[in-house]
Amino acid sequence: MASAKRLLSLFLLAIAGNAFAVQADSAREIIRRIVEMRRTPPCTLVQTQVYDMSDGVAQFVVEFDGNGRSRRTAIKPLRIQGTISIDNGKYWATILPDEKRVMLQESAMANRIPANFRMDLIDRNYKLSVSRSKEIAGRKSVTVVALPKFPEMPRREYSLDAETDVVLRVVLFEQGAKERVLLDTIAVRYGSKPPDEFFEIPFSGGYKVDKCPTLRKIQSRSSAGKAVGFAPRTPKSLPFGFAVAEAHLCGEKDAPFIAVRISDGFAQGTVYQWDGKKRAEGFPFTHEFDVQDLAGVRYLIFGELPKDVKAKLIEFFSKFDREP
Amino acid sequence: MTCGHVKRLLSAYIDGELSGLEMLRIRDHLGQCAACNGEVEALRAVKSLLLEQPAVEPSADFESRLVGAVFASTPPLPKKVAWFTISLTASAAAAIATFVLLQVGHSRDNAMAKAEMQRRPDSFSVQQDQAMMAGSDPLSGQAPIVMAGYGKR
Repeated sequence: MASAKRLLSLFLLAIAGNAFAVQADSAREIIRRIVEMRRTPPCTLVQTQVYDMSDGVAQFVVEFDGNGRSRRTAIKPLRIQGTISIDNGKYWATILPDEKRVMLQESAMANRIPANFRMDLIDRNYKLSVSRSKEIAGRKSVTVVALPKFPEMPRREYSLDAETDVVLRVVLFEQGAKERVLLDTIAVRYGSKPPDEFFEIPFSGGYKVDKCPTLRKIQSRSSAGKAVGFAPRTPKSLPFGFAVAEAHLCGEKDAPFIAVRISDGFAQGTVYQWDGKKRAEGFPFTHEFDVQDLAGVRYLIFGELPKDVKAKLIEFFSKFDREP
Repeated sequence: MTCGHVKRLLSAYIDGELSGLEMLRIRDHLGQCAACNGEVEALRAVKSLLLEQPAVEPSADFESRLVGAVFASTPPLPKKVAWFTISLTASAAAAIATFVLLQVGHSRDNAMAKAEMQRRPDSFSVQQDQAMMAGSDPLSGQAPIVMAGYGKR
């Protein structure tokens, strides 16, 4: 009798374990599809999002043409109202209609962190599961919960349209802090493809085009070092499961700086490095946040990361002085 | 950033209408200043109380009643009143003085803003870079948008 009971409990445990594995696999598959940026179907969304590296929340109309092009028009706050950003896969343009000005950069899609690299980090640093579906903006959604293995990192919840994988809501739950909604969707409309003109960058018609310097991927530390005047630091492994994804040489030729992209799979950050002696005081901001100075080289970190995590990461960068 | 600067921007700070740089500066100041922190909490409480109030819908005939009431309360202009002429002249003088003062203040503000922008052109490179990074990550949740009127353009 006792062995029958044991067998039954083992059987139930196996079923539960299997169900969990299936759920985790399905959560992973959903995240992989998003990270790979598979085509978003033609749609128009009204979304609120945090913007400009701050707590500020803005509202946008976001349009996708189904062929990888997107257009985002700011509705509020007033100070960015009417600003349009278009990514056509080659260029990313910020259009200021009032000033008849276009700021042109390389497409953001061309600079994304490779999907396999991110998925490996996600497997290492997070436990994924799918939670109950709920309705967002009238659409049935699926929520993927990413539980970090490092308690210092926030839990993340990504709610996606159950039919199309469009990201409808992103929420962070940091320990000891209130939940933070980074993105939310107010309305969604599928079916009608926005007209082609919506995704055309106005290179003529009286618009002044300012071309921003292209990011240069750092292939060798020594050549990048010659450009910036110091050896950039790109440690192979970092605290909290972070890793360096890639590094870029940025800025104008006469004022270059290094941007090291780091990720733990979900969270992404950039560690900027520059020669504090060569640059005008106050770069990149007049008031400095999360900056460390070491032998004249300055390090600054940006990203949606907890304050303590940022502090430890930047400290690690500034103290790291041996490349493996 | 002084307490005076911070207090002037607190309302916009709570509404999320400032640039990233201003938000960061204010957040930093609030971390160190108990007085401004108290102010921001009080302002937040007022704003949340106001938000809790139900929106008042005017009645269908509100506009016509308002217009009618305004016309009914406007007194007819006297033909010849000495004090009226005096007060009109005084008002005109005050308006001119206010305009001149505002212009001086405005041009000083413009000059300060211009100097500030020239001092930190590189902030904009970083802002553009961060917006680009947000655009490259469909899971970031952050909007890939560069602020207008902020830094080098």
